[in-house]
Amino acid sequence: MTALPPSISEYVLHLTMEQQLPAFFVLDQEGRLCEWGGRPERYGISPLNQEPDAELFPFLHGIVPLGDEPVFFPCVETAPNVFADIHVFHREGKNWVLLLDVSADALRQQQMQQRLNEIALQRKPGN
Amino acid sequence: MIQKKICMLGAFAVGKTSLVVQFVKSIFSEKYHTTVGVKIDKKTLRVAEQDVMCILWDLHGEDEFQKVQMSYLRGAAGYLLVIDGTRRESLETAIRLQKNVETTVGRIPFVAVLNKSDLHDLWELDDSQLKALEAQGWNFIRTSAKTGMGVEESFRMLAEKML
Repeated sequence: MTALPPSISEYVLHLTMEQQLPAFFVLDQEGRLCEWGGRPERYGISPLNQEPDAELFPFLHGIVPLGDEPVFFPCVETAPNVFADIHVFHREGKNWVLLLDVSADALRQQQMQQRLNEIALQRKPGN
Repeated sequence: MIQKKICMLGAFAVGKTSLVVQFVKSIFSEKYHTTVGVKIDKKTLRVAEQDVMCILWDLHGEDEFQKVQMSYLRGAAGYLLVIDGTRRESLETAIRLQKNVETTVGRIPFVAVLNKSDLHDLWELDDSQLKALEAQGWNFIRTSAKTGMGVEESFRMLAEKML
């Protein structure tokens, strides 16, 4: 694959920052929150002075400490009508958690899926 | 406190979300609302003299266009396999999902939930097929997310299997 020229990679980065509102969290090997940034409030997460437990990060239960394999949870509703793609991966001896906003796509899909499912239920024999 | 991740699995419109909402908030709504992706909720149960926090992953239903991603089950201690007793095809979906979980995640405890038992006149499930699955180790429980019948018992049964 050819490397992207800086003007393209900068544009993609700008687009991601604008549209996907990244938030990140760094946990050490013991699972303690040691760094965070981006837009956690977008996802209903207020990490200040909190231990990373099931209240703060319910989606991390059972997966940290992480092995070499990254984990991807698509389309997790983290707050009412706010959906995130959640990526968890291991780098430099730490667990990194990245949330990217996919709410617009999720809400569009919800409307379409709702119609499809209602039609499928109406097609059911006896209805 | 002990924490256990529990996934809700099943075909679309079998009542997974309604079961979670009835279990967590004791509320039922007649309005059908399709789930996309996953919504996570929590409730603590007292089981075998221990408090168990159930971290409930309410996954979107499986249909011909949308397959459940098995990555959602990473770290799960068990799952409820929800079947709509008034739709025979939802049992076929449950059988397929259970095989898929066993292949990708391995054998973890599960309980098969026969939901919508308040609609008994519309019941479509064949007892002989259920008995054959019971012979393979499936445990069934009848529930109604509408009336609340069997709802807490189904989560409790699963929690006991997970401890």
